Amino acid sequence: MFFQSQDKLIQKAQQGDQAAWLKLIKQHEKQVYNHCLRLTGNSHDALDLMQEAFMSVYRSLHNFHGQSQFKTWLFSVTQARCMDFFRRQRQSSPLEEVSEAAHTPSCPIQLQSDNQYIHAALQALPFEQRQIVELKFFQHFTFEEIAEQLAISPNTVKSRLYSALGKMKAPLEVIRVES
Amino acid sequence: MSNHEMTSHELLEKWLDGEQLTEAQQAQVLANPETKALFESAQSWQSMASSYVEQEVPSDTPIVMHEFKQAGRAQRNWMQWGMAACVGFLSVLSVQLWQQNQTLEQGLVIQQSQIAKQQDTMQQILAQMQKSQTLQADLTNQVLLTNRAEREVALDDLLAFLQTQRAQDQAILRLQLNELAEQVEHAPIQTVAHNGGQ
Repeated sequence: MFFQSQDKLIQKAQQGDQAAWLKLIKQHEKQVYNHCLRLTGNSHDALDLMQEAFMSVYRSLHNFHGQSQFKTWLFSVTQARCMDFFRRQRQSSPLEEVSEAAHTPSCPIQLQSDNQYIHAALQALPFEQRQIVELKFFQHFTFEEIAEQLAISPNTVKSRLYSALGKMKAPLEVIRVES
Repeated sequence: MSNHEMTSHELLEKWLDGEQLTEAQQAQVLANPETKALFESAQSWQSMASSYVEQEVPSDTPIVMHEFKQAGRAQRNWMQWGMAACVGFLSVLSVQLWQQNQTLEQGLVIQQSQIAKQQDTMQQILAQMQKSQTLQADLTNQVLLTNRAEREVALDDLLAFLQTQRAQDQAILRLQLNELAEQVEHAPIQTVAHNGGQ
């Protein structure tokens, strides 16, 4: 009785069981937080995004009927909140390319851990490509699942991923040489 | 389409979607400079992702998610209400038990005092009985003593009477004898019997 299945938790949360909802959050908050952290590059924005994402999930929980995996659905909601977040950010600072350039891992010696380097490498990518890299390599979704989450075609997903891989080739080589 | 007819791009996609490639397929991907670069870059990303240390959600940061808080609050409220109900129930129960105890205690005290009273009464009755027994014994003794004394007095009186009677009888007999003796002395001889001579 102590370990309830995720389906049961979702069902209970849909019926208004607050404890089940909290358990559901606990099961996924680390994944979502780290996902947001890699996308935003800082913990404050990641926390805000995670909260926004969970709020959206809570509000639209009754719309989830198990047509896809809960994780896929949760990440699609999170992606939507991330896109809103970056749209707002882009409006407030139109020189995103400049700020992104400042985060490029041009001097990885200054970065003290793998995590920091990964954050910097991700920040060097445009948001759309960063999203794809994150979902592909960190969340291990298939092209179809990513396409479903982002409401774009699988071909667009592939082309964005290949662009990202092409861009990251140079910094990764630098790292490999330095290590 | 069979695996042999797949292009290096298709094989790369297949590998990126998590499927294993055979050595021949991998060689095919690496044979194409374009897919080779992508493959190596993807491998680097994969190794970076596997070395990434997932960070804990900061617990000291105040989470302002309304529903989250509400949910927590609702749960806490529910628990608080539950606790309060339990405490209330237990206090009512304890008061009732205390009252029952008090009633029982009072009953016991009344019963004990009644028993004590009854014991006192019994002891008084016993004491009275003992007293009456003693009195009866005394009376019996007195009666016996009185009877004995009366009997002794009566016997003494009787003895005295008898002795008096005897003395009187003896006196009378003596008188009669004296008279007879006088008569015999004074009577003629013929009238006197000669018992020895005949």
